[in-house]
Amino acid sequence: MAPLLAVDNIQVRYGDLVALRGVSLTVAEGEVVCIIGPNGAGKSTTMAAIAGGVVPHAGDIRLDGASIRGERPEKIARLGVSLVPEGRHVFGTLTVDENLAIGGQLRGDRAAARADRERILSLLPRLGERLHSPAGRLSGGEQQMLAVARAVMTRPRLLLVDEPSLGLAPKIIDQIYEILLDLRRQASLTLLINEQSSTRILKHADRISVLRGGRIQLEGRAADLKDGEAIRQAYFGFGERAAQPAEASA
Amino acid sequence: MIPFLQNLIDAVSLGSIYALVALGIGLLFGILRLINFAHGDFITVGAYALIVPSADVTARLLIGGWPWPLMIPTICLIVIVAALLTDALVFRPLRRASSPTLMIASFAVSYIIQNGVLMAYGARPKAVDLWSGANSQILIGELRVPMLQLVTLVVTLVLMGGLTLFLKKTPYGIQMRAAAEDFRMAQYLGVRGNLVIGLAFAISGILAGVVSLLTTTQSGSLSHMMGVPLALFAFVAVVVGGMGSLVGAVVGGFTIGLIVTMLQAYLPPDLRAFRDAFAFAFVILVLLVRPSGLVPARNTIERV
Amino acid sequence: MGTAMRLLARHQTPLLLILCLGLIAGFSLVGGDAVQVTLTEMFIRVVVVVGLFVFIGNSGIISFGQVGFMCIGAYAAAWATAEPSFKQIMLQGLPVLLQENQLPFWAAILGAIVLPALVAFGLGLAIMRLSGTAASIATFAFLIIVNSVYANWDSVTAGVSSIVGIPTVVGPWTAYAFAGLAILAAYGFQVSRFGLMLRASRDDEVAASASAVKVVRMRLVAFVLSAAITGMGGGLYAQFLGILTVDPFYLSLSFITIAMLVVGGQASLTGAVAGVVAVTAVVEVLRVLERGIALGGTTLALPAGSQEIGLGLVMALILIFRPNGLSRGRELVLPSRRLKPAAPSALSPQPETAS
Repeated sequence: MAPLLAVDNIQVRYGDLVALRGVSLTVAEGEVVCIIGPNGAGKSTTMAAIAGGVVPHAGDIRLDGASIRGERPEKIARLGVSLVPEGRHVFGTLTVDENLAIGGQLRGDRAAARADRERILSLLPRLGERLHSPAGRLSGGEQQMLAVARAVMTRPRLLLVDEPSLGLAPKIIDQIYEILLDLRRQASLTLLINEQSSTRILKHADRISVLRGGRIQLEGRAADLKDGEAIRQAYFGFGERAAQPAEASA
Repeated sequence: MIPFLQNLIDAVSLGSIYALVALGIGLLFGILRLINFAHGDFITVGAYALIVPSADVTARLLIGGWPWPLMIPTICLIVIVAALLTDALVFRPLRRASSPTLMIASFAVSYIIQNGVLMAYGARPKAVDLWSGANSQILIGELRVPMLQLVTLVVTLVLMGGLTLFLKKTPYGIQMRAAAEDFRMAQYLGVRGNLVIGLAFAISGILAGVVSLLTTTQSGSLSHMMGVPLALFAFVAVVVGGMGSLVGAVVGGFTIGLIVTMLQAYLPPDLRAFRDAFAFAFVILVLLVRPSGLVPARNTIERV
Repeated sequence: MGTAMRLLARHQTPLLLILCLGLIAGFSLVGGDAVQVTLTEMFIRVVVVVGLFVFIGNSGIISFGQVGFMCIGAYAAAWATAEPSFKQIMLQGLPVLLQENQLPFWAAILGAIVLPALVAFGLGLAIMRLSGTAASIATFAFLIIVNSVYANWDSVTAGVSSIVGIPTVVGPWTAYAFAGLAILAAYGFQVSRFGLMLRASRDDEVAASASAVKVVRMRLVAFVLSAAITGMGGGLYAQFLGILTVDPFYLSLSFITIAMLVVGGQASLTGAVAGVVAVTAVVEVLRVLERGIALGGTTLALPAGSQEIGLGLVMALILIFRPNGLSRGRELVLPSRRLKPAAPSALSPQPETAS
């Protein structure tokens, strides 16, 4: 069966700066896949490429077998791919309720959207309490929850989450992950998650890819990589691949 | 006291016009980061649509002669079409272009429209009489208020109220506000970029259409450069009020209306001619002291 | 001999540009009056647009106000060289020294360079630390201010009436000489330490929006030099036309000069020059077509105003399809593998993003 998402050797440039040198990965329906890598490896660029924010100049991206490379972000969102970007990007001048409404506006079925909204708010009561506050006034953790909730309101099939733990306290991070996995179970969501740190995600992921210097250095089932040694080597570049200089990217 | 109040009413009326024009400019800046130099020329287009195309000095009313429930929407529609056309032809291909490029492009559109009107209608200003009742005066206490000024104020309040309702309560309005704050993120959530931008141009067009009717009624004449002074002062208003903030545009509009009227009334006679110079020196001052304006949009601090 | 050749090759751009313009100037020997006028005007525009380039091209900030400096320069020249009999009646606000004397050409040009430069220094001190967009708006405000002041300061500028009787000493060859001078000055700045550092900051957004003292200082130098050159163009203009009013120095001319720069390519000196030549050519063609060509028994003519609309359309098309302009940000060099020019190619390709 074709994977839900297939990223096929994409290369991305920002002007003269090469961000991705040929990244490939697949995500099967229902899986939790994690991309880990150091700062500047190209994780955000990879997600931006999948979501339509940047166009790879080589390679292809396929959703359900059909190419989505070069499509507008709004079209890709309507095909069922939602992005929770690094840094949350909640609409600070809009209220929490309005933020959720933006997520829901692309749904044709108003009743279903409303039902989803209720369900999400019951999962995240803190958001329910602050429904009419401007989103800019929420704490970091609350904003992250809002960003996730908002993305889930679009009823995606694939949720891209870019560094959800950045800048958050461990307790909050645990909560976020709990919510993500809860939602995944309830809504049969497929998750692709970027992270810098590997320990937490090893518990939850099905498969892991290590990205460094714009390239996938290692890929495999989480169960097989449990001891972490292979991951460490790929992450820090020990061994034969250490000859590649790490390149900065957006 | 009475003369002062009289001046104040003038100021409010003038400020209303500037506020409406500033709203049109501010709206496009908020969503598109575009400083639309051509907005004044949309007003010109609306005004010239009232008459039969010809180079005669006395113009014959065409749409201007229709009953006003038909005339007003038609003019607005014409301006909306003009605005959407410029978006489709010029600004859409430049979606990813830099800010300076967009500025120059709108400058080019302005130039094209002005000379197009010039070519079609000739260079001589035309006399138009839209509403002879406009200058009849209403007595409020001891104040004489021209009918048109009252209408202007009422129309402005209605439009601003309508726009606020639209932005706060309707789904498209919320999408526009989201896009104005973070365009890319809105797209990631499925908000159709071109639709939201088209809406912004359309609303901008409605505002320009209404202003064209009000100013033509007021001045009784048309010229191919008639939009320029309005756009210039509205531009000042947007900068002073705060670019990217609609409330700021309105506040700026009334502020500039006040300043211009008061300068006109109270400057010593030999300095009065330099009114424009003072107004624009004020702009530079504001840019130096508080570049994000009197009522900055929260996300604009980095923009200007 | 070898070093001289290498030096020449490194700095071939200004020489090539001056040579090409010289060839065009040659037409003045064979053409009639109309050709003389067109050529003189074109060379004066070269001076102005090169002046624009010195600031816009190197700093990356669009200035809508340089035509204001042209105005200041033009009037400075007029104040110097207009007849005393006129000045004593119409321009009684001028200092007595100017009113009573008719100064030579060189004094006029000097005034046309220095006065705008002084104004630019004062203005620049205030606004060069603003970010790009704010600075552009401020220059726009400056244009309006200059126009308003000069249109109303009757005692000094004759307000909305004209200053007449300015000696018309500027013809195609004079204008060409000054165009060459402008090119050399612009090039000198471009390859100097100031110019290189300024261009480096232009392409770096963080530096460009910072008010780092170094960046501000370099922008100020470019702004003042730009005003001086543009003002010089104004001084030439006044002594070419013989009559001076405020009207030309406003939005239309601002648009045309910026259009010329954009069409040619705002990131290179070659672009500035090429833009003037190209746009002048296009406008001339449209002007001829407006007058009409006799074909068979009838005359085919474009409606009046086609020149302006044509220019606007060309500008829009260039912005959409070739935003780097005709020159693509590169400088004019002779094709050669060994000799490398000093003026760098300016722009890197834009990143591809979905719209």
